[in-house]
Amino acid sequence: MYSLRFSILLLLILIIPFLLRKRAMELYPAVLMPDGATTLIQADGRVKVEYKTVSGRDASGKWTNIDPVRFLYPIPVQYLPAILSRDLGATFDSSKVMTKKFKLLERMHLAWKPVITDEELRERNRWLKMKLAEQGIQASQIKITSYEENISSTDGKILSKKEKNEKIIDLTK
Amino acid sequence: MKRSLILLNNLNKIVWSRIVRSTSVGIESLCVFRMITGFFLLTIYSPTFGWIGRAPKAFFDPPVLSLASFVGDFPGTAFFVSIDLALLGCILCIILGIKARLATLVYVVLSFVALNFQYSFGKIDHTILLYLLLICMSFSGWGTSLSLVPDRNDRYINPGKSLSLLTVLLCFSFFSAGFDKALHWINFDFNKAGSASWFYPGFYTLDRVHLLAPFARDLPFSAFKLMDYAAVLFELSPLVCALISRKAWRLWLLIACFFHTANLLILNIPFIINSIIYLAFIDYSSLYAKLRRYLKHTPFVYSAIGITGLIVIIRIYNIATYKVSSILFIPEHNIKGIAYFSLCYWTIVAIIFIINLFKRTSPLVPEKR
Repeated sequence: MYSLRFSILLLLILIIPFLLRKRAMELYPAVLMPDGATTLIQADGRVKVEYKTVSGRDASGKWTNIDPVRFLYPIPVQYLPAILSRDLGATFDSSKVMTKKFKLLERMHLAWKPVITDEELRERNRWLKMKLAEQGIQASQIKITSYEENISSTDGKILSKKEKNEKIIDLTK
Repeated sequence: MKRSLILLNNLNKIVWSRIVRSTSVGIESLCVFRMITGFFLLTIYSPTFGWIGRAPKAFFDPPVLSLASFVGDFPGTAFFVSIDLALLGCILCIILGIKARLATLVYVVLSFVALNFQYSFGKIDHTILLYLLLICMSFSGWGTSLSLVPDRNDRYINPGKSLSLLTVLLCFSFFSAGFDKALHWINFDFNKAGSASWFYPGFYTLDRVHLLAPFARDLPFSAFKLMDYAAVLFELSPLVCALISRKAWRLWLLIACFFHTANLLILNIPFIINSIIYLAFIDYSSLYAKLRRYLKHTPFVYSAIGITGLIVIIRIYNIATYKVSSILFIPEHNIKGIAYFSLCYWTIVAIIFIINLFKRTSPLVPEKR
């Protein structure tokens, strides 16, 4: 049977990454399952949902919705929200680098502020154009649109839809 | 102080011995399970990583303190294709029982390296349980029989310890999922629901609109609250069940199948990878003698080699063409196909656990080492 010493060591190995995740620092590999403990609030029989869509603009100026699953395939679709939150790699999450813990890790040479160069953005644009061409879309621009929908919590009907934000990425640069 | 230490020691012994009693299976069962795992890795969960080398560097956003963060960029396709081919080789060694322990550990290490880069797009997936299973099984003796090149029966082999450790790791991983949920989801405010925060974004952004998802949108909001209670109860109960009895543990495993099936139907999240961990606790010893007989039967062996060889060729083709198809014949972008396959798969697994629940087995006496 496992000794007390082993059990204590095991507990430390399990607990430390768990506690670090609570400090927004998830290690890999670690014995963790997705917590996802956020909640959605219902008020006056409606639920507010925010999401982003991606559309491509072709040469005639028409915007076409892009299938989110095929858009970045073979990059898995569950990675799309994280990639969209960084404007498809054009920006980094500045709130991450402003924290005390990031600055401490930076001083210990264990973290770096990401630097995105023009050449990397051009490479990204070429890649995105190729991906869109696979869907039959010859796009010169991509638009990331954030929507806020109010949905009835009794029958699922969409009560209102509001465009919150829109960002256009020029793929010709 | 000494008294506390003796108390803790005794408590430690009681906990581990109870877990072993609830979870142990014989070494013969684990040898059969090795082949099942190998085929699972070959046909149902076979990720490839070559595509990572072709991703734009602008997407690189590695986890903090990870191997990828030290490397600074996605390595090239040659690196990942080599890993893919090596993983395929390891799977064949696991199935055939060629130094299964070494093959399993190499598989785990290579997978961790590749997955570290896969999780450098800004999100970490939670597939760790499969690799914990493989690490634990590599010391269970699952390569000592039904093998072409068997592992040595040395002092590191202990099926009871392996499965009990796997149980504790499984319980903790669910605890890590359920703890925060318990803090935020368990209340009497029926205007707030955590399950809804999983459902709606997936429905609108991730094409999780199949099976019962469209009907779930019409559910009253309080239904999501009930799902919150059920999820937390399920995720925080495995250790209790493992400590109670063998039957309670098997019941929890059956409930786990229903939990994942419900997640699949409503949230379209298959979590198919968890099934192989649960299947480790089934006693396959009745299949052992049958399998030994079949493996002496030449036509059976040739058929098995033929089918395996065909699947390997398909996998090599997928690797060479950067196609991502974890489940054989179903590409990763076919969300609907994956959902329906997963439904059939979880149904079969649930049936296996229902049969297992009513089967009479007694706990094995753990070997003294």
